Amino acid sequence: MARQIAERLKPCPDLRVKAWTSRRDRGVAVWLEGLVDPDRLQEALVSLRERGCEGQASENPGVPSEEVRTITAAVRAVLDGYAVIARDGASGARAWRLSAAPARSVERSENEPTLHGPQEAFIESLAVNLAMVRKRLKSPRLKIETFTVGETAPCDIAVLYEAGLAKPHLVREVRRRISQIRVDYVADSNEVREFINDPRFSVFPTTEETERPDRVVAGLMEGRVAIIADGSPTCLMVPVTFAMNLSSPEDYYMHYSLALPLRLLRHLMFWSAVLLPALYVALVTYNQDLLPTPLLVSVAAQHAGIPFPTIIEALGMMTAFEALREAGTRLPRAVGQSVSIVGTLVIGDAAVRAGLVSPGMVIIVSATGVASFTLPALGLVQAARLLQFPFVLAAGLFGLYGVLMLGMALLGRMASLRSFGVPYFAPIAPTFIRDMKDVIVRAPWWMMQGRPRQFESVERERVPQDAAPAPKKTTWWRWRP
Amino acid sequence: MTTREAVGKRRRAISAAVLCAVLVTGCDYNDIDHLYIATGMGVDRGRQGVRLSMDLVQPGGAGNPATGDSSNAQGNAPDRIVSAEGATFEEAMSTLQAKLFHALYLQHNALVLFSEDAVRDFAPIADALERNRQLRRSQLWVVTPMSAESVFRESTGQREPISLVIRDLVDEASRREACLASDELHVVKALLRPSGVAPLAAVDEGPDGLPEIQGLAYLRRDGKLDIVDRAQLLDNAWWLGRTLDVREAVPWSDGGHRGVIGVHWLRTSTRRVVDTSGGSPRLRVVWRGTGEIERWQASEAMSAEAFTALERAIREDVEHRLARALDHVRAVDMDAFGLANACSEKGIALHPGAWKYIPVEYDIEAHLIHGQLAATTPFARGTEGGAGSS
Repeated sequence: MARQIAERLKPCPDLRVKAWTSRRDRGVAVWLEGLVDPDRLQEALVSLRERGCEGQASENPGVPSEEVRTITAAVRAVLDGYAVIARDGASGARAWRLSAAPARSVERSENEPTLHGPQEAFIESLAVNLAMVRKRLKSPRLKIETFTVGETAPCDIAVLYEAGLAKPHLVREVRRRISQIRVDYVADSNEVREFINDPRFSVFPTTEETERPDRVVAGLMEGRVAIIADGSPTCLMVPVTFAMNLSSPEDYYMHYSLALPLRLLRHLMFWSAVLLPALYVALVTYNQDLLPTPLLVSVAAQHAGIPFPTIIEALGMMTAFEALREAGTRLPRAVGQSVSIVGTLVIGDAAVRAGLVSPGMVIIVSATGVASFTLPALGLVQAARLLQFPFVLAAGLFGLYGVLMLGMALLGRMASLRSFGVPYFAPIAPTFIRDMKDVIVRAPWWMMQGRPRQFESVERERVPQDAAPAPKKTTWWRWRP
Repeated sequence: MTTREAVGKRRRAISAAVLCAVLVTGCDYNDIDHLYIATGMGVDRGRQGVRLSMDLVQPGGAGNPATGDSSNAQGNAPDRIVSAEGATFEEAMSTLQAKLFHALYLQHNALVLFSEDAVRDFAPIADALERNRQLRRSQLWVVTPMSAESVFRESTGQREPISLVIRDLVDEASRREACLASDELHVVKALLRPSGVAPLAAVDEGPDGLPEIQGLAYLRRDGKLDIVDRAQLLDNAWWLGRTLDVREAVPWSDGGHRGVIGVHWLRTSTRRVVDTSGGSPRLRVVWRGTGEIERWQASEAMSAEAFTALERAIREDVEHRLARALDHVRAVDMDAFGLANACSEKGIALHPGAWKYIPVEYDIEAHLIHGQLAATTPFARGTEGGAGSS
């Protein structure tokens, strides 16, 4: 068996084969160096040698193991970080789970940072990620199903849901879509997302992507389904709505009165990120009558001497801003921050002084960038970044009319999107009045006893009616000296 | 035809309509660089007919955030005046456009300044202004006794276009005397009513070269103009509506002392009520005001008798002012206070000029707030108005 495994994997300098003998049997252990914990393997082999004839030779009570019956399964086990223990004369072998694959430790979330609440984030190990979810959700109803995807390099994909909460049809649909994925290997959960998305072409994220276990647990408790791919530090949650992309975990970790203005601000900022440059271009090139006179005079003064039409100026600045943002992302962090600051301050200032762009345009493009930074969902940020370009083109070619027409088309498209059957604009369109408590505003927890109606969870109430807290009543406290 | 074909056909038709509409909108493209933004228009009587003076913004001038105070090739003025003449308003406008190498942009025009001469031939000018679709109906119509062009050209030292300075000047004044808010919509509306007279703000160039409110101008539909100077502004303003935050010096005598009492009117309002019970119409002018005694230069607290006397003096003063203003408009034969309008609202059609003979009675009530706000100073005795209770 060892020879056959080596034959399949060669050339493979990190493959290790070690013979072992006991009182009755002898055989070989095969594993890949670096994927197996050498100390535990040594202990297990010593234990195997000493136990001798007790039980099946390759079984070790101290080590979890699986039986492998074919060479293909044995190779897969070796690649998965198992140590395959083969006995001479036996038709099968045991795969000992002694994995010690290199993985980073659990760290703070970098893409979804919050000031309050839990801070830990997923890593690239599926086992660790599942453990992090289990640690937070100690529920016997939490179900985890594993699928293997990838023809050349199989990858484990875990589907998590809370039995009795998630709609069975939803779970079935997730299973169906994942089982239909045909890909040679899975590099990241994004591949899974693109395969299981409802719309084939859409800039809007119809699956929620998160690296925070607390967010996953919150989603599971709403009757949604989580999908985690091995090797990916992010988890996908389905279904998702547009409004959910504008809510941050922090909204639930701070007082609801503070969450209200922040939610409103994010809604405003999303549309600002999409429309602000387009509105500026439309107002400056077509609809100057809508500007107050002092502002128009100021804009005209700023624009005097600029050699480009406003639309070219806007597209140029937006492209430059995107290039700077991309450079800041790709470069090492320390250098990237410097590039962003230098780009924004020095290049912007130099461009204004050189008379290439107007100060107003710099302000507009910068404000658009800042607006996009306020959005908690990375997918929505990217959508806003993409959408601002066609809107600017429409504004430059057709004025406010073009912006209006494109805006209506965009709203129509958004309203037609579905995420695993759930309308993307729910609970706004279609309207679920009860679920409005957690859309633009975030109601106090004691008012949100029901689960979101649009997900059609089996149990609609978070706690049984008889165990629900009594409605808040004003208690008259009288001071008695 | 199947449903699918019908839907496809409808979709194509809608797309074609939208595309056409979209392409048509593209014709309005006009970048801000290629506009001459007009903020004010002066209308004078010229040799050929109408002389127009446009106040155009100079984007590179002073007072803008891009250039600060630095001068440039165009000079440091925030605006420049371009004038042209023509037999008609439209011809003058065409001649003016011919002098400019960018399109004249009138949608931000905030002011039309008529000279006294220009309004003599008011109807064709008003007609042209009303017809022009670029002009906003909210632009102020203001009158000057001198040349509108000279008011524009000779005002110096401004950090913003002169027409915006005049607009702000009138806006600020109309915050106190509402009748000065003479925007085009209100003026035209007043001209079309039975009285046919509209009040307009009158501005003039002050001794320091800056424009200032000269008073109130009454413009009749036929172009007759009468300017009431600033000394009588309050009398007329009380007739024409509400006033806020105005001050008045009321003549006052008590205990052998004579002087004036400063009254700060927080708000006043005037209503005209036509009484038809006696057969012929009678007009009752209901004046209500709330004010505070601002300058009570007495050494002692105000007694009840003194207060009653003061109220009586104020009532007499207000009545005197209203009567004086009415006498003036009767004398110039302009129904500026809308007596014919008031009768018309009651269904009474007056003969031309009959409004002058309508009996008028005054119902004046002044609500005075005194005490806390009345102040004395150590210099009260030495000042002219140092009278008070004794």
